[in-house]
Amino acid sequence: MTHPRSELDKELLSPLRLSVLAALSRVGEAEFAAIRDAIETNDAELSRQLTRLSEVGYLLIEKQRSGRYMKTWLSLTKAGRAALTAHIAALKRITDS
Amino acid sequence: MSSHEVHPQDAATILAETARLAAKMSKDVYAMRVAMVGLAAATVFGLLIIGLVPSIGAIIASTVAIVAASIPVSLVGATARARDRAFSHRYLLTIGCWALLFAVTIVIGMFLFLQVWGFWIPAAILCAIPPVVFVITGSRAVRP
Repeated sequence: MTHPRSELDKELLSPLRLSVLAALSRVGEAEFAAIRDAIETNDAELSRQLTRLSEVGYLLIEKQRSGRYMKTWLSLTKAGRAALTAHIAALKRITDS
Repeated sequence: MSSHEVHPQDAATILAETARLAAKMSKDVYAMRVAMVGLAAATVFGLLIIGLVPSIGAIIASTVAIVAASIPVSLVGATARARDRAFSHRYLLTIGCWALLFAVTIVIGMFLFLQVWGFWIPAAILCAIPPVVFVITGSRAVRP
């Protein structure tokens, strides 16, 4: 029987990346600025983490027009939601161990 | 220590933080759903009053109620930083259908079916359907 820590998602061992996915877990999509404020980081660091999450297929990044401006909207992909669910399940088993 | 090493206490802290973030971000989503439910309720109330109690006071009160219910829908729609998937499309479709049904109900009802329960009750329910569908389809859009 393997320890639940082996089921932790490597990408989500980063607290910021996990926080991004967690923040998006109960919404369809959220603004870049809203995520930045919620997880209390800056634009540059968040952009770096979002790029990584997008590269591994966990995150969808879209630009949408809002009046005169373009806004960046973030949403979980199916793979991202599955990874988050599995990671949280592993964390719960660790708390129980 | 392995980079994968997570102690139970740390895991519990991480889980609490993820739950906190999820709840924080979903407030705007729930606010829009509450606003839409409010619009549906005000629509039913307002149309029944307008159609079945055709006095000036009743019409004014109903109009105020419906306008008051539509303000949060507009405000939250314009300012929400977190929302259900395909929000813009669904929002415009909902408001468009609601406005069309409402206008048709008022025009037909006021000219042909004043104080006719058999018209105003189903018409009021029909007009409330678009915002209710918005809430139902929105909650489905978030589920994994």
